[in-house]
Amino acid sequence: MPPASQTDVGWIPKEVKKKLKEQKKAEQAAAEADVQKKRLTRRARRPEGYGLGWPLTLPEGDLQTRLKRYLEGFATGMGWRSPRSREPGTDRDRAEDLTGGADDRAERLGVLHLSFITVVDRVGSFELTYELLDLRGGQVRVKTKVEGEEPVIDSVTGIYPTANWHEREAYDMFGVAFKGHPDLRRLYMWQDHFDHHPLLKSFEISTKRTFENLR
Amino acid sequence: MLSEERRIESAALSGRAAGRLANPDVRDEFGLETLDMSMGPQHPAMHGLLRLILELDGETVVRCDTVMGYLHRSKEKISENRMYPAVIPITDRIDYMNNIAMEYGYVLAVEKLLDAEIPPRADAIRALMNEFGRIMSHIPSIGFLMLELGAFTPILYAFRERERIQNIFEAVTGARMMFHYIRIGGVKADLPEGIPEQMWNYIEGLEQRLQPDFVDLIEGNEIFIARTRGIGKMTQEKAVEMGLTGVPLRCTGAEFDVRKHYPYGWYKNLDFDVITDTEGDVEASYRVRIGEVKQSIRMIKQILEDLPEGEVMADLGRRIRPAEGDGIGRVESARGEYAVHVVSDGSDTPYRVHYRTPCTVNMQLLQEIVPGHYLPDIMPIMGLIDPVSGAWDK
Amino acid sequence: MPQLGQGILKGMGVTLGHLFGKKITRAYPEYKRDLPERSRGLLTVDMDRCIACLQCMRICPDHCISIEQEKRDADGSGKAKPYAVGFVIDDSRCMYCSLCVEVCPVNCIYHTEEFEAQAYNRLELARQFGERPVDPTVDPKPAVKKKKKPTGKKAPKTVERPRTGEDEVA
Repeated sequence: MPPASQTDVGWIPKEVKKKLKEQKKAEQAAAEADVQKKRLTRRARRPEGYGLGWPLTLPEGDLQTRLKRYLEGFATGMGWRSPRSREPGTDRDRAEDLTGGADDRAERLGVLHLSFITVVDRVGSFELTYELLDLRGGQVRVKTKVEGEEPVIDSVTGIYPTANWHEREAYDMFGVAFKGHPDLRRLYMWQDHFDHHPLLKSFEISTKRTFENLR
Repeated sequence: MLSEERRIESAALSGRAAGRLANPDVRDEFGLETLDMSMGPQHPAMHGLLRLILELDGETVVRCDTVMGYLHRSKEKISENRMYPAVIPITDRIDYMNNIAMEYGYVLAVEKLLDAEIPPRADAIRALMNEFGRIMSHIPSIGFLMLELGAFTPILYAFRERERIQNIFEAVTGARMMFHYIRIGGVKADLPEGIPEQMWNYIEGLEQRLQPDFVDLIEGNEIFIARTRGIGKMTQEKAVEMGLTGVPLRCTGAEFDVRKHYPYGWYKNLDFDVITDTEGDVEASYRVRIGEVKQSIRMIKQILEDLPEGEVMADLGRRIRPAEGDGIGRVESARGEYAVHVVSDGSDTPYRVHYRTPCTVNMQLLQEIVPGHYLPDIMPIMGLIDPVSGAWDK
Repeated sequence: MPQLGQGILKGMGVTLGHLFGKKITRAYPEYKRDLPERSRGLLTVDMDRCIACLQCMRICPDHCISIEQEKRDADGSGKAKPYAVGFVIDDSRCMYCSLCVEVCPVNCIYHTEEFEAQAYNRLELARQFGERPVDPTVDPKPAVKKKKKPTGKKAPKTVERPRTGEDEVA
């Protein structure tokens, strides 16, 4: 550290220059943090129900208790059967039990976000996987099975409006119909003159190469 | 602008079937009928092949219906007929602006099926490339937004940055766009000699260029503010309800990031913030994107500072044949939560692969928030969602 | 509220600054950039080394490789080994994923630095490497051993090749 008098003369050594620069940077960072803090307080002053930037009350407790609560919520709160599998994160149940009344909301289930719906064609039956996230590290996987060639299952659009297109896609690709869906059309394939559901195992594609009998 | 009543009515109408004639019930004050208009699929400003069936009242949109599938290649069906490693180049083509994240999600799912242990260096390199991919996707998307608003310069600067990252990627992976770099069990090859230094230099340069070339140029511009402030405004409730993820969710103030809340790979060791904004309009989404680029720069610096040594590929054997079951890989792509569900039946090829692309889900928002806006406001709203044609159509 | 015209002035300032900077574009056909070592160009095959193991054909996601194999005593060891009489790479399908390069046990298939593949006809893009041309559009069929026709009955339509222990080797 050079003597202070040197800084007064206009000649600033390199180290001091560096230090001044760092000081300036720290000030800027503090100012930015201030702005961020102000933003946070502004967010906190939002009307009721907007707790810390969230419209819905966030799930509390650690992961295990939350998951347990969700499973109980599925089993009892919604009038569902008790889950067959006790594995955390999985819950197998019957198809018709998936929805309660129309006014059921995601809050009652306790899980905020429907990630995706996967349909698996098990030739003769269809396996549906609903992946639910609570956006805070917890995930619940609900698996159901529907029998038959042209299966029908209750729609979950009443609980999760985002399921709209997920279900449309499932209908388009597999022909699984969803009861109570507001607008069940094909999502990808053209609407008319196309009677197939391409992701069924019975739908053969012409570019498939078989290496049968090859060494 | 429409009255509140009309807006609610039009939102209800927006879910109706496509190809419908103008609804005679919807008439303006003078008793005039509305006009049906088709925007796309070949529209110069559209982000790809998308058709919007718009019902117009003057220049105000009353109903917006999305018709997609013009780029549908059925990646899921193709994936069912390929061997496990051969699916990775196909996932590259889903979101062609952010390929690395697409590979990453699929590989994570298969690794979960295999219960594989990944060497730490491979994990770090994956995160490094993924963050470069995010910069590579976010900066051009800001450029596209500006291009649609009529500003031509930002897209040139954006592509200059993308070009430079592509040069680095070409040296690492061998390709400029369809990288096919992340493999089951690790990455294709270690970083070549001199590349970490090149990456560091580039990141330092980008940090300096970001302020004058993007923030100073765009922020505060009157035209930009006039076209984006208050446009596409949505509440957090709506955003969570519609299942949005990524920037459209975060710009409403909701704090959700897969990297933070469902950590994977090397992200457990990294220190970064989830950028949010309170406004929930197009301008806010721009601010979130710039903030995320800065966070990516921060993360890349952290990774490069202590890059672990060792192997980059786990030994999983010649043939990849996972046991029966299902695995889910979830990553934060540049557009939101991207998840891959792989169902295995114990053979060489996956029994079923499901891609949850963020664009498909985020696009549902169009028919919810476009009604009530003017026709030219659709393009900024598309810039908010920032969809990619290959990703929404799969 | 920003001052009127300030944004435009600021924008023009940035543009002016770049006007006097170094150019970053390049006139492409005249000037070509040096390609990095790993860059993936058109595929090529060294037919002398190929052992016709068909692994590249199996792994190829686009089915752009077709191989016709035959048992032949090529190296004069007195033992008939599989030999690729026909080898085609269809560049109109290839997506340069380099899976075939990685899977090849003898490293006979590799990327070149060439990247400009163009032709007036799509079939011209199917490059033949073997001594006999292969139709890239048709699925490769196994080399069927000639059998004596069973007398009295009609020959079955599809002749299944019998699996023997010998076939599994190499």
